[in-house]
Amino acid sequence: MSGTVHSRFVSELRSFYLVTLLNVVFAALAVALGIQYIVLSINGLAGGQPVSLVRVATAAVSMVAFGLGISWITAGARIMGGLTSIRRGCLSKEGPVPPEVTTSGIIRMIAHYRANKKTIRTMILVCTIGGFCFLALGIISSVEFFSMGLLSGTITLNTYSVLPAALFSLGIAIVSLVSSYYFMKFSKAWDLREDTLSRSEPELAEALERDPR
Amino acid sequence: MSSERRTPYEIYWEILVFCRIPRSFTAIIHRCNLNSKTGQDYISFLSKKGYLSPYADGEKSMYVTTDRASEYTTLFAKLYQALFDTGPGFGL
Repeated sequence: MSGTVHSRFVSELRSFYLVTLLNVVFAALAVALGIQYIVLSINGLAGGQPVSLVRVATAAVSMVAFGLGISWITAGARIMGGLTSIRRGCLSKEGPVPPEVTTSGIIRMIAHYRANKKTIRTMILVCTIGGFCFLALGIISSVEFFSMGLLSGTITLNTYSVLPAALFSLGIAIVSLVSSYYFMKFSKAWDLREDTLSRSEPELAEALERDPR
Repeated sequence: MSSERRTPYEIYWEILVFCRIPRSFTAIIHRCNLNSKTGQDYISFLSKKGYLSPYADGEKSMYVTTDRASEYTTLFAKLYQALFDTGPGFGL
């Protein structure tokens, strides 16, 4: 039993670590992209370009995305720190893994989850809001790309520069929405486990209080 | 790992498993991430219940888990490992 339990536990840890790592990487990209949009908007205004509603909306959404990206990185790093330590404890053993190592890892993981439950809930929210912000940025940039082309009657080479940023925003949006889904799935699984453990506490209390035979 | 996020049952299990080999008080509180006050409370409880017994190694005062504890540690491990035997898991 222990081999299966250990492999399932380690596999879950690995999956969650990957989702969190992906989150941190994309959060860093989100911050960079947010800054890029802000700088482009300010440069456009300083360069004497007319103040358009699209430009103002882009600047506002990118500022929100930048702020969310920062809190996204902080939360992700906190979760990753704990996961790294738990994984190290479970993976560094050579040969067959004693059942105590697995149980100890489960205790550490449930304690880590209890300690970071609020952060994980925040990450679900941040990933969802961030995802929609970047979706909006991607759509706004795509609209800007097409309208510029339509207004001038031709699509000039310069307008193509908006396209990579739009695609990039859409990519980040998809990753953050998918992450949000996985964080929710993870949270649901561990909430259920925490509930199961709470229900088994009377049994443990009884075993602990039992008189010697 | 913050000790306040573990339940007392989890801390009891950690102490009992760690003390299968005689251990000093300092080693126990260090390994189980407890402060002296809470460490003393947990050890006193387990000693009073007969799950830990004092072990003299020269001048060193140590604690060792008794056979009686195996019922609790086995049940505990069974309950925690069962979390991964049944129910929905998490995976990519």
